[in-house]
Amino acid sequence: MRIKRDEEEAAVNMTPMIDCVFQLLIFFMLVADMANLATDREISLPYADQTKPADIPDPIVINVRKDGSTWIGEEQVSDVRLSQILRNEADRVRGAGGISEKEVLIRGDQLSRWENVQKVMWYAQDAAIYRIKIGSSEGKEKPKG
Amino acid sequence: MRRARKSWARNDEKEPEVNMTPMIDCVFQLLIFFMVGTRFRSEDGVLAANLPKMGKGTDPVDPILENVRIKLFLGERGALGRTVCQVNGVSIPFDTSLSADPSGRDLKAHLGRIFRTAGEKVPVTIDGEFQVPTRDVVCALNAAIAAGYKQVNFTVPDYIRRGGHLRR
Repeated sequence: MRIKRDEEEAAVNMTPMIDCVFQLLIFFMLVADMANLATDREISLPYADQTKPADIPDPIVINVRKDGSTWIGEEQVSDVRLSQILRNEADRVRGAGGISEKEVLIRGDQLSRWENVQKVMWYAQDAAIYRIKIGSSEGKEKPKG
Repeated sequence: MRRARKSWARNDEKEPEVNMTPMIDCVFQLLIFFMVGTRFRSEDGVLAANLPKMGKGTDPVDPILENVRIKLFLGERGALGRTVCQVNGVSIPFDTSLSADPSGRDLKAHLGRIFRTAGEKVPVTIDGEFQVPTRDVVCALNAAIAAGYKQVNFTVPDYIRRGGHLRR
């Protein structure tokens, strides 16, 4: 009888530990993905059936809301600050002829006036950034508000 | 008889023990899987374009980029009017509202005809008026890319020279 009890104790159930590890793995994958996307939930992107995935390495993401305000991440930026950020980012990867290799992703709300997006373009051009990407959506989303 | 009764009693005691942990774990795994899956199906993406490299604030009148010019401006009814679309001076039916034609079918067809005769080396320039909604300009960009154009430029009026606004 004593020998039997010893056999039972030796069996260690690994299932809960493996489950916990997988849970943590998925959790961190999810969090890492969210941290990379400097997107703004307030923005409803315009529809475009030629939309391509945004596979840009380390872009400057600038959000332009419906009211015309400009946001970088969680920060609402003034014109001066926008110019400063774009110049600093452009200087990091300056190529031949002073042209920056940096790309700017402008996510403009579909109902925002074009002048608000043009303003961001002007500041990008001023920092010698000429490659831009315009945020769009493949889904036919109805404009908010 | 006594032995048989004892074994039955032992079985009855063990049966009520149902371990719920693996099932709960599986449910949580599935829940997280579907949450992650929903993010992957995100329809947000990008359209590529260029800014002219001819110095700061390239004004709309630019002879080098005068090949295929898409001009977008508001009609006579002001802010409530629809956007008018012209390709090299020719008006194209254009209504980007969801109920009409959000992908710019007529503009795509028109640009496609020009593309087949002129080829992809001819650049397209989109000249959007300041009041026009971003949706309409993106629709024009989408139509140009769909027609086959690789090089699409935007005109950018000089923001500072115009005193901090882009109105013409």
